[in-house]
Parts: sequence; C-alpha cells; structure tokens
Amino acid sequence: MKERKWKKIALWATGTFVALTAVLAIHIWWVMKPRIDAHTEVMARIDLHQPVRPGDAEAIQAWLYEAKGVRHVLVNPTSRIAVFSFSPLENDANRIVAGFTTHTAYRHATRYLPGAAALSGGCPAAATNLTYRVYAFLKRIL
Amino acid sequence: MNLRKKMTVTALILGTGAILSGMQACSKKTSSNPPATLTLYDSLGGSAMVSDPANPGQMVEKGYLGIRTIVDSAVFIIAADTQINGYFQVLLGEVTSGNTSGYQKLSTNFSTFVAAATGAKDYTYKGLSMPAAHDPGQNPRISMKVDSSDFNRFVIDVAASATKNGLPAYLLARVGAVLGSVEGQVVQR
Repeated sequence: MKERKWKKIALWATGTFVALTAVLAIHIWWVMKPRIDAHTEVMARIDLHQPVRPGDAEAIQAWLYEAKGVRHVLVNPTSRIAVFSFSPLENDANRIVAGFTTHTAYRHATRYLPGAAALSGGCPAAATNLTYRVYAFLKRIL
Repeated sequence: MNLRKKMTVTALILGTGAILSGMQACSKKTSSNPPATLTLYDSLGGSAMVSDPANPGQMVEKGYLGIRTIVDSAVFIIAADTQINGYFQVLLGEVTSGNTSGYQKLSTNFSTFVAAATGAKDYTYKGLSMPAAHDPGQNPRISMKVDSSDFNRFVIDVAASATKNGLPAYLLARVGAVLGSVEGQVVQR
C-alpha cells in the first residue's frame, strides 16, 4: 500500500517536471524565434565580377538606392563588391540582385551567400547570452 | 607580428589625427578640446537623450547614437573589404534569433562594446572577453586567429567610417587609442 503511494508520488513528480520543462522549452522557443518587423534590417552582398569604371560606383549605388526597401548601400570599386541593407518586409535580396543584373551592365554579378560553416564561424563579437545558447540548443534538437 | 607594418599603420592614424587636429585648431579661434575630466563617451555625446532616427518614437543616448552611426557605416566598409570580410560572414546572415539579423546583431554588440569601453554607464557589453572572443578554441564563431595585419586593417576601416561621419580628429585619435588598447588581446597569431 505504502509502496503504491510512493510510486504514485514519483509518477506525478516526474510528470510535472516533464510538463514544466516542455512549457519552458516552448516559451524559450516562442520568445527567441526569428521575427521580422518594420525595424528588421538585413545586409546582402553583390560580387560584381567585372571592373568598376570611374563613376560607375555612384551609378550602382544610385540604382540600388532606387530599389524598394533598400536602406544603405556601399560600393567598393577596388574589391568589386557592393553591399546593401534592406527591409526583408519590403523586398528580397535575390529579387534585388536579379533586377540589378537585368537592368545594369553588370550581367555577371551574383549575390554572395556564405555557407553554413562560414556563417557559424564569422562573428568575433557575437553575444553569447544564456537564453540564446538555450535557444540554439533547442533549435538543434527540435 | 609585423612590427614595422603595425607601427606604420599606428603612426598613420595618429599622424592623420594630429594633422587634422592642427588644421582644426588653425581654423577656429578657440580650442574645441573638451575638458580633461570628460570621458570619451561624454565627448562623443554622452548620455543626453535624443530621438533615435532608426527607431521613430524611441529615444537613445547621443553618445551611443554617434557610436552606432560610425559602427554601422564601418560594417559596410568591412563587408566590402576582402582582406577582413572573411571574419564577418555573419553580417550576411539573415534573421537568426529574436528580431535581429546578423548585421543588426553585430552592429548592436560592437556599438555596445565601444560604448562601454569609452565610458558609457548605461550600456554593458555582455559578450565574450576579447581574448576568448578571438580564440577559435574558445569561440567557435571565429574561424581563425587574427593577425596584426588584419587588426590594423580593421582599425583603418573604422577610422575611415569615423572620418566619413565627421568625427573630429582629436576624438578619432582617442577612439583609435581605445581600439589599439585591445590589440594585444585580439591579435593571437
């Protein structure tokens, strides 16, 4: 009789612990899940793959600023790279780059996208707060 | 570590600062140098609250806003700089967690780090220590150890951004000194 009672208590305790852990996991996932709003700004890079003549940098910059949702642009003629930031609510980087190659002389320009390995190894100043690490862990196992 | 190169770059930055300081002093009848008791953060605008142009309706400390403006501009310069953009691939990462992209996260972390390092009281850098952040053994988010040449290039890019955003020469020299003070912790090969 006594053993049965303890079994019942252990079962309830385990069940409650599992339920609370699940609630906490869902809460962390919900709070940390990717969210895009009006303030979200994303950066993208275009590799031009051809020489940028004097004056062309300004023209490239002007074209990109005309694209919907683009907020900031920088063109480096030496490295033949253009970087821009934009609102992902208003536009998409692939669409912007497709328009760029179609409507400018830079037909061979491509959007540079780092691979997963490069992305995971490319931010010396990343904050490593506990909540984010828990989120990353949950994301990995879910 | 290429000592000669390092010294040349440091001399260039400090020299540019000194020359521009001199030019400024010649162009104004009174000295614009702030009192010595002010922290660098105070000189950059301090804790006076101003409206945040990036977030309508919100207020931000003037010092932080100035730093963030320079940082945001610097990350664009860095992203297009093939010598060091390999360290900053995360800039091109889209929305990763919360509502921030890699670009926004780096901008926030770096701005907060500089704000705290220059004397801000209301901003605390919560990331890894500089030696740990730049050691692939302790931080999997950095792919390789930083060398002196890349660090100098980073400082040059930040200085270019600061100049582009109109930071006075005497403050540029002080910001350069703050960045230079962590060189020993960042450069590990």
